[in-house]
Amino acid sequence: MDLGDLTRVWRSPHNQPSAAQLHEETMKFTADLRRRHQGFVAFMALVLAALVFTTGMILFRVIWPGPATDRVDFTREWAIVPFFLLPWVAWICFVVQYRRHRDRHPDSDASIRASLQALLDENRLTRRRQVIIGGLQAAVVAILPLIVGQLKAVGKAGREIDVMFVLVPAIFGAIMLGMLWNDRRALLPRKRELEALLKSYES
Amino acid sequence: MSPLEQRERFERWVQDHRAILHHVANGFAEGDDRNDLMQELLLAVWKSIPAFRHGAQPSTFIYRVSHNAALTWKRTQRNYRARLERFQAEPAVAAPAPPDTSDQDLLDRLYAEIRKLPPVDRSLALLMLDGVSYAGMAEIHGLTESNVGVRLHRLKQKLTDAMKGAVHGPR
Repeated sequence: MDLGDLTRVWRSPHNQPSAAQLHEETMKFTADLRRRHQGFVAFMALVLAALVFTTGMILFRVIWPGPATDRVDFTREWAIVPFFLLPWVAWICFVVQYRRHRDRHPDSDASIRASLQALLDENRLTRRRQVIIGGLQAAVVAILPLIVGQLKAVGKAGREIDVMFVLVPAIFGAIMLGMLWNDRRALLPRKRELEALLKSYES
Repeated sequence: MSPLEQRERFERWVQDHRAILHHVANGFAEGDDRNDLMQELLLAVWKSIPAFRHGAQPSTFIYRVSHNAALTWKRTQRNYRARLERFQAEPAVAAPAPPDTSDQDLLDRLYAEIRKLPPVDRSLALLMLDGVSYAGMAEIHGLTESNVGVRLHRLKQKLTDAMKGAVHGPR
């Protein structure tokens, strides 16, 4: 059997998809696309809503302190500012990262090899993003005693707030473990896979 | 590009170039994995439509997008486990099937041989069988034409040898 025979078999009607099969696959894809899009939009909306809500609450108290609410005195309660700024810092870091990544790979769609290089770089950025999130969480834990101390000092919280010393590190610890698991199970193997693919272009 | 234009172009491309997607899906996966990969290929084509530059060849574009998606596709754990279970359920030593030289059987064997190749070679083999030129393959993969030539020389030999074995059956 030579290449001519293989080509003949390859071009036979057996190697053509039927119209019915194609229609079924396209319909399935359309439903899947709608589901993925809705899921992504819902996730992004949820994150943005949480961020805007917490920041809005702080700003509301600062700008329009009602008679029933205590005015925020930043000379005595300044530790709350970095606490609420840190998520925005993370968000800005991610946007800057994304733009740099895009500038580094302007022709990532020129060839498969260029796409693989861009994907590998994206993998590196995702791993770095996890380090940034971990660092910011550590920063929050570091300023937690200050926040709690200041809230107690101005009389806005009592001893019940001490539970935060357990709750916050526990939640952040769980998030870090999740990121570590994701790194070992998904990101690191993906990195090796992409490196191997790129290396196969050199052989 | 409006969503309507994107949808129209997607439907036209999928219709016109369905054979490319079919060949890539079968060349990189089988069974349930093949269906998952087909969905990934359709998604990759859909997402890439706004990046298509006018003046470029849609077929070359679809080759690059679909082969790229197949090379970087990750099969789901669910299908991987299902495949493992199927494999474990199979008898340890299967009796050799009588050689069947019908086109469908030859095609199945050819796809099986292609799936055994390393990923980049697999992609090049599919492009070669689809009749893509050396220049086209070089452009799609970001290789030089001479590199494509060297690789294809090895690949042709490998595939024809493997298929000879398939036609004559195990000795």
